[in-house]
Amino acid sequence: MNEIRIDIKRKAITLVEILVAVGLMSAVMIPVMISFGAGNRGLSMSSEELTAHTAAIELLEQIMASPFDLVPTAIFRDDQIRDGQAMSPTTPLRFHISRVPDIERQVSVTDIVKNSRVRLKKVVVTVTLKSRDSGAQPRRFTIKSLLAREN
Amino acid sequence: MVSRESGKRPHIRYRGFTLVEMLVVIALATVIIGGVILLMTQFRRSFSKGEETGIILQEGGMFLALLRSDLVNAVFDKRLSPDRWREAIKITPERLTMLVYTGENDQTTSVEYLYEPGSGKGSISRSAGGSRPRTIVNGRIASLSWELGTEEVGGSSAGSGTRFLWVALQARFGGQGKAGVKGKELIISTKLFPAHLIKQLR
Repeated sequence: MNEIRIDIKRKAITLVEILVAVGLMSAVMIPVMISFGAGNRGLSMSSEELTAHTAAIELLEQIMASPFDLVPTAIFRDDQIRDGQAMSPTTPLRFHISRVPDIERQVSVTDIVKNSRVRLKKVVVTVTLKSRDSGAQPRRFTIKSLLAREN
Repeated sequence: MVSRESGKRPHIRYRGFTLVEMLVVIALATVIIGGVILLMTQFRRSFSKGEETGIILQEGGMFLALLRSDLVNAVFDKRLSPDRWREAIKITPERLTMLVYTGENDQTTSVEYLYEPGSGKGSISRSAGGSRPRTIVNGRIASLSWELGTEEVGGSSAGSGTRFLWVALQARFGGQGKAGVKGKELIISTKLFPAHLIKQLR
């Protein structure tokens, strides 16, 4: 019986080829993973921004609803802004705020004088989100409005 | 393949895989496929959680914006006597009712928010002028409380002092949406001041 042997050379995959394939796959997958993580971080940041915005509006709204002459011209730091605490000794107005963790509030009220009479008061509310990461820059949220004299 | 010389089919010897080789391959494939499936499952779960958190943020933000808008436009019901100013906004644990200026032909309309609690899956709906309630938050409220706060400063008779009223809102959003997936909780704790109503009360 004539038997012909054909030598078929089968070449296996080399380590370099495997490493290149794994490297390429990682290069594709890692950005996908990172972008997904960034999306989740973005949602978390939106939640914190909503909290900060709500806290800022709360302060601004109550000052805007107060009588012009009773709103004191001053800068209030976070430790001066407490629920039920008087805004200043010269006014009967008190702060009414909710307890929100991890934020710091600051309010500034300045007079805008025209013809030697205070016509407007500029109200600036700043809310700073306390960062859990000590190295990161704290995020600030500022809203401004003008309170007009009614008479 | 046919040999040109003999015209017979050549006999090619193929060597099969050994049992050990097969076992190694199966083990490797199991580890890789298992890892990929695990990764994809976590990926999917994480995606669903993110999606749910997004919905919570959207519905929570929408509810807050609508309530704030209605309170800003809230007015005093002139059918009430001035000494009943604390009833300008009526609040029970389930309902919040107020009279709101609509801006259309100087009309006012009664707006009602209805809270339906349900074992961590509460809902809120809003109706204006007796119309059919529209759901704002659907099954995503874990807990909610609203209270009316009032204060009088600098005198008690009308015109002599300042009357304040506000709605103190405490809401925890984060009920379960899709089966088994819970979004990140959103806690809203704030006081809302009806500016026009407060000015009307002076």
